[in-house]
Amino acid sequence: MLRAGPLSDERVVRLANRRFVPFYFDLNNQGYVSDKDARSFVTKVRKELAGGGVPTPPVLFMTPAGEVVGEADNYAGAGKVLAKMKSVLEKNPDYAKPADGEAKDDPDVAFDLDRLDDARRLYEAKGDWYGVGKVARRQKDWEAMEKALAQVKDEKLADDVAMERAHRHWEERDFEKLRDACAKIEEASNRTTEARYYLGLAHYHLKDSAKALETWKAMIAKCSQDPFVYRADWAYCDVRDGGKNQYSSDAKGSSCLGRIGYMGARNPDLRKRKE
Amino acid sequence: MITLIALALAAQDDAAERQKDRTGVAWVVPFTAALEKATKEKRLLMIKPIAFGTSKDGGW
Repeated sequence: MLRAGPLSDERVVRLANRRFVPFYFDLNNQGYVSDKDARSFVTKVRKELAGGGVPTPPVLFMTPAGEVVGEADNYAGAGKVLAKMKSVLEKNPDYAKPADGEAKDDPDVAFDLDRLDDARRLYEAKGDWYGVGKVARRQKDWEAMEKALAQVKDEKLADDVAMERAHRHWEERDFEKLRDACAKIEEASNRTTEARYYLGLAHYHLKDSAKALETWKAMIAKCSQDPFVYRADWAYCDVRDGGKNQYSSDAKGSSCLGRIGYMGARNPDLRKRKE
Repeated sequence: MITLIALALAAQDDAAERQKDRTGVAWVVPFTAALEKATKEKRLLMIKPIAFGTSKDGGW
């Protein structure tokens, strides 16, 4: 679930890559991605992870000296994981310094660090209207978003602009407009998986679950794996299985990506938000 | 010598398999490399231990 959830959230991914050294491994030394050095490093301070039948381990934030400075629950939502990441950086400023050669006025860095006001100002200073638009979208400043995106003339960014506008329909819960906007994004687009994921969500919230399932299944079969494919697989299982949170290992291969199922929290995008 | 080459190739395979994760997270593998990077660049390690198995393609 973590992979389809927080680790597929762009804010978490950008901050992880910009300010942390991310690593994952199988605690079982016979596992496909086992790592004895990592196991020794972690179990020295988390002895409960050394035995068999351990509880689902959290994400651990550790110094290179082996001190645990924070953790995020495996089933936490993206917002909580992001907040924890920011909090451990704030409490450990020696590990949060800019990288060598990192420019203070680089809007991409500010964006990655989730400093949206700074990012918007810096994109604007550079005349990067797509950058301004994408930040304004995340700030839900729709007027500024439309104003900025209207100034993007590069045809190569046409799908990016369309997808940013589609996100407005999503946030405003206008599922018919969302459906129509996403359906226009073609398969060859760089935003195709995102568009298909939201197209499925539009169908689902318009009460056509069968069409939602069909959309996600087709997308997962056709597209290379990426965060939206992971999220679509989670949504697919969630809708098909009605939020079931216990799976037998006999069910291996039941998801479109061959997973057993998704335990824990439901895909938050399926929730019906209060207007 | 042959053993060393085989080990190096196996490590490359392992890293390549794990890079098949497509979340967009730039996993640094193996752990010795992650630890070295964290030490050199003074960064915190963000570690996810997996308890319920991993698949051959790096999935979990």
